[in-house]
Amino acid sequence: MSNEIVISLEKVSKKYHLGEPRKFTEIFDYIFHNRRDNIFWALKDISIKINKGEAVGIVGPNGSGKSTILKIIAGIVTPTKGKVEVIGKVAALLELGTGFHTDLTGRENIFLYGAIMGMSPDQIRKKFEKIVDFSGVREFIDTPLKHYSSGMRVRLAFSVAINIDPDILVVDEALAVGDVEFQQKCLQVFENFRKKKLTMVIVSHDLSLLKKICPRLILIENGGIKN
Amino acid sequence: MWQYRYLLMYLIWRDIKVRYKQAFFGVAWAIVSPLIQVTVFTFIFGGIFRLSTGQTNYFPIVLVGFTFWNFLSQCITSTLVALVTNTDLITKVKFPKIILVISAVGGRIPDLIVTFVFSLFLLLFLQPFFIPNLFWFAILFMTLILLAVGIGLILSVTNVYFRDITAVIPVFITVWLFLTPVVYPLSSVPANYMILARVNPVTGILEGMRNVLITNQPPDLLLTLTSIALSVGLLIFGFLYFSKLEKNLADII
Repeated sequence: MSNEIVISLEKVSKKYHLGEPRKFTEIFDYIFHNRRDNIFWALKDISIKINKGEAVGIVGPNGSGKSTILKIIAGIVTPTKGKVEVIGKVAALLELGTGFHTDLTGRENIFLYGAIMGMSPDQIRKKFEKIVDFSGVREFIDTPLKHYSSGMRVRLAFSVAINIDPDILVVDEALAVGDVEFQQKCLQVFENFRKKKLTMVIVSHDLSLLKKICPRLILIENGGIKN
Repeated sequence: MWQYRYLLMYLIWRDIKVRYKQAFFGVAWAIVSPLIQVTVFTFIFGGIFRLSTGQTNYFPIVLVGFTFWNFLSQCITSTLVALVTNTDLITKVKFPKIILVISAVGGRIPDLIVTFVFSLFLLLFLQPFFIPNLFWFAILFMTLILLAVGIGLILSVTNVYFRDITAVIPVFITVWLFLTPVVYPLSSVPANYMILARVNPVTGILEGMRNVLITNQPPDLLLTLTSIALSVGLLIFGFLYFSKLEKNLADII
C-alpha cells in the first residue's frame, strides 16, 4: 500500500448554534442582550490522516459527530476551525436517491442522479445497461418513480452510486437499509471496491458490519477520537 | 463551475419536465395566461381609461411589456424557493449552490421563448413587417437574464434565513409591476414621477424591447445603460452576498 495521504484533517472543530435566531424577538435578544448560548461543539480538535487505498470505518453512538466528519470530508460542511485537505474526486453517499424526482421515470432519474453524483451524460450512457441490470427494475424503467416501492428506489439509487468511479468513496450508514439479500449485495460491492484499492470512509454504529469491510476503525465519542 | 455543467443542465431539464408533466395543458399556459392579461389590460386602460399612447396602439405596448415582465416575475417566484426546496441536495451533495439559482432562471426560458414567439406572431398582424435589430435585442435580453439571476441570488439565500419574505414577495411583485411601465408606456408617466420610473432596471429593458419590436427604433441609450448598470450592479452584489452566506447553508437550512 502506498503511503500517499489523500485525506487529512488537522485539529478540526465544528461548532453549531442550536436554535439559530429565527423569530424577530430572538434576533432582538441576539443583538441587544448578546445571547449567544446554546453553542454545541459537534467536533473537538479531530485529526485524522487516511492513506490512498485505505478502507476506514468510523464508529460511534448516535450524535457523536461521525456524520459531521463525513460531511466535512465530502466538502458539504465547512469546519469552524482546523485544516482539511482532500485530494481526488469524492463521491458521498450520505443518503441514497438524493434529488430523485417521483414524477420522472426510472430512466430519467438515472441520468439526473448520475449528474448529481458528478457523472457526464456519456459516462452514464456507457454504464446504463449495467446500472439497470444491477438494480433489477428493468421492467419498470420507463415508469414514473412514484409507482416504485421504496426498496426498488433504493436499489436503483445504489446501482447508480456504485458506478460513479470516484477516487474516494464516503458512505453513511444510511446504506444499511433494505432486505438481507440487498445488504449482502452491498457488502459484496464494498468488498470488490476494497480489492480494487479504492479509498473508502464508512460511517456506522454497527461495529460488526464495519469490521467485515474496514481493516482500520476509528472510534468517535462526544466529538473526539477515542482510542 | 465548468465541471458542474451537466448538473446544471439536468436540473433545468428536471424543472421543465416536471412542470409540464404536472400541468395537463402544459406549454399552452405560456400563451393563454399572457393573452388573458393583455386582453384585460387593453380593455381597462385602452378601452375604459383611454390611456394616451402616442403613435402606437395600446395592445402591442402591453403585449411586449407582459412578455418580458412575466418572465422576470416567474424567475423571482422560482428563485425565491430554489434553495429551500432543494434542502436534500444542499445537505447531502457537494456542488456550487449558485447552480440552483441559475437553473431556476434557466427553467423559465422555454416559457419565455414560447410567449415571445407567440407575441411576434401577433405583432405580424398588427403592424407592417420588419426585421428587428438583433444586436439591441440580444443586449436587452442578456440584461434581463442578468437581472433575473442577480435578484434570484439575493432572494434565494435571504429566504433561507428569513422565511418571512415568502409572504412579502407576491405583494412586492404586484407593486413593482405597477411602478414599472409594463401596462403603460414610459411616455405616459408624468414628469415629476419620471425619475422613479427611470431608475428602475426593468424600465430600460421593456422600453428598449418596444423600440426594437414595435417601432423599429434603436433604444434610448441612457435608459438602456441605466438598466445594464443596475442589473450588473445587482448581479455583482448578489454574487458577493450569496458567496458569503453559501458556505453555512448546509448548517442552517
